Amino acid sequence: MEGRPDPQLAAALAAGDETALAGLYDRYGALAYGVALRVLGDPGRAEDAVQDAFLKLWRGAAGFDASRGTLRGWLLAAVRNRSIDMLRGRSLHERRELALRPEVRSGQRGPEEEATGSMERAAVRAAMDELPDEQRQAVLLAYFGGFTQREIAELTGVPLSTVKGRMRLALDRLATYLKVKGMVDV
Amino acid sequence: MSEQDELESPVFDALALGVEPVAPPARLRARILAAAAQPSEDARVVEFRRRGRPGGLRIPLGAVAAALVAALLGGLVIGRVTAPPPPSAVTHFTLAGHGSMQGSTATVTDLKQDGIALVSFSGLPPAPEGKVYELWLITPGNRADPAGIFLPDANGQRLLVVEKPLAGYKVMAVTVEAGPSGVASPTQAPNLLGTVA
Repeated sequence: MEGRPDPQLAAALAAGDETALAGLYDRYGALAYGVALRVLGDPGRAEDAVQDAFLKLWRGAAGFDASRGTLRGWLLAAVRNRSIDMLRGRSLHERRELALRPEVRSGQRGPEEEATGSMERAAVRAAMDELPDEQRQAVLLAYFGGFTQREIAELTGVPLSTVKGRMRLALDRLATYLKVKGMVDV
Repeated sequence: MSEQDELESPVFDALALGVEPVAPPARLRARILAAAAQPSEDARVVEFRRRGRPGGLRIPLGAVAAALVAALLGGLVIGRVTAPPPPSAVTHFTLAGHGSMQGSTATVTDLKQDGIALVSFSGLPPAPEGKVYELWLITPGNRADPAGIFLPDANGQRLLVVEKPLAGYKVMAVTVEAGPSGVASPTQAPNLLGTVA
């Protein structure tokens, strides 16, 4: 298991150290794959999305700026964005169903991820559970479905201004909750 | 806060941390590391070969392959006399060997209008006992689709006919896999590969 902390891993990646890439994968591969699978619902496409994201980081590691976020955050954003890209071509109905399906609550992970991730996972889930249904739905559609607020308004049959309000309230509530928990750097 | 600002907020990104990790297939790690180890796309681009027969057509062919190739070649020759195909109708590219397959090459003739390609291998070392060579077509997303298994002849040569269009694929590659039927996904990084033209 790669033992270097993330900032050192980032520096090693930027230097072209392939063991750092392997270390990054060993540390976050399961979480990255979980995110891709959550968005896409397709193991084969999820593999492609994860591979693309890791290679994007590998080839762009020199541009990583630790002052703007964590290496993990950068990776997961890349996985999520690539997965959303790969949703293109699917029907709105299918994307909606994928985004709103119940969260998987069990799975395998490495010991390092287990140690550091389970508390954060619990915090994020609890924060989401605290949201009113309509706010949670808007967040899920935006994050996991890649829908714009205008599309969410059309899908849910409410005015765009209502969706904007729900999103803002939801993100404020999530930020407050997660800051109190101190589990994530927000 | 604008919609774009919301999408880029740390709170939004934190939602990924609520997702259950799922152990990916073991092959994914190897795929990623192998892809990272490859030279850049530009380094693998090969020149088109505009004249001469594909090298593979010099080697002895099986009866079926011979008939097919002869028919294809006949069509190409006639085509050149009567009505030259558009430049994009037939393209050539090569695969180059590295590592354990250093010195191995393949010339690919992509008959786009027919939806098939001829792959002429040369300089192939004998496959290890119980192993076969397996040809892969790899998408931009790095999904590898099997395109045939083969063994070289005593001279290290082989002609393979790929009966599917190469459109949509970016790399053609060869790995050594378990015989006699090969595998559904590559188990190692390819040592013979080239960019699809």
